[in-house]
Amino acid sequence: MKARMLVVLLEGQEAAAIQGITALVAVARAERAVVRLAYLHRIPSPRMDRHGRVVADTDREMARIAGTAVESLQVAARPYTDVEIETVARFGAPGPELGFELDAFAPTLVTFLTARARGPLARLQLWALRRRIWLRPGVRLIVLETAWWRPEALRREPATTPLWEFIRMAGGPY
Amino acid sequence: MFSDLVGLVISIAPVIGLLMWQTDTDRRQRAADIVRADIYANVTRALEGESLVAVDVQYPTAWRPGQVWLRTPSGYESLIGEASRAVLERVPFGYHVIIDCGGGS
Repeated sequence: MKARMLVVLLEGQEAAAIQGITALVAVARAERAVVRLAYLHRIPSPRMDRHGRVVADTDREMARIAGTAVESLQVAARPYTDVEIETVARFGAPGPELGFELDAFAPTLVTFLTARARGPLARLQLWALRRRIWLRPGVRLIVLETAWWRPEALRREPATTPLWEFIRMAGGPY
Repeated sequence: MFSDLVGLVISIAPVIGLLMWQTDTDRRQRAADIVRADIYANVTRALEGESLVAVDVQYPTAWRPGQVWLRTPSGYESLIGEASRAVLERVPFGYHVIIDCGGGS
């Protein structure tokens, strides 16, 4: 039976997901896992114009957000044809939605992105979500740290060939 | 007499508490070091030698599970992939894995 890997993406983690997909695929490949990228989003409020008229109702907003997210993730995942990756978008409170996904997909691995959240409330929410996983037997929890939020990563100069690359080319120890 | 005893208990309670806390911390740290040694040995075996994968383990506390950190330089995510199976089969219950791939992941 193939391993199943559920990747939990919350609002604002789209860039981190795209950036971290290489590492995700590397782990999935090693585990021979089927990957499901689950994008969890709160139910959006209707879009209004400046006169208070509804321009796009909740359903249309959900379709737009889901379409954008799923398409971006599919484009990022397209080069990795050897790993089965499916993308879904779920709307509602993250806790219950994650519970539904866990029951429906029955993953053996659950991956979260970015250990550090912005603000104490977001951290508390992440902690509560992860707690659901680590209390569940038979499910492994992986947290993928991506560096997009780090100031030093944003300041990074275009890299010259790193020392590691020379060692690797010279037939280094790895 | 009783008030002297209460005063003595109150004055030494913080010291005793700190010692107990430190003992507990040392015990957890020892357990985490054993986990780290086990995982690192498995990673080294899986990658057939020393590699650029760094393994670090933090012991579990009451409010968070233990953490097994895997770090590689950017551009070397494939090493994580090769080592992940070796890591996951050795991670004990109550620990989770954190993968940190530097700036380029």
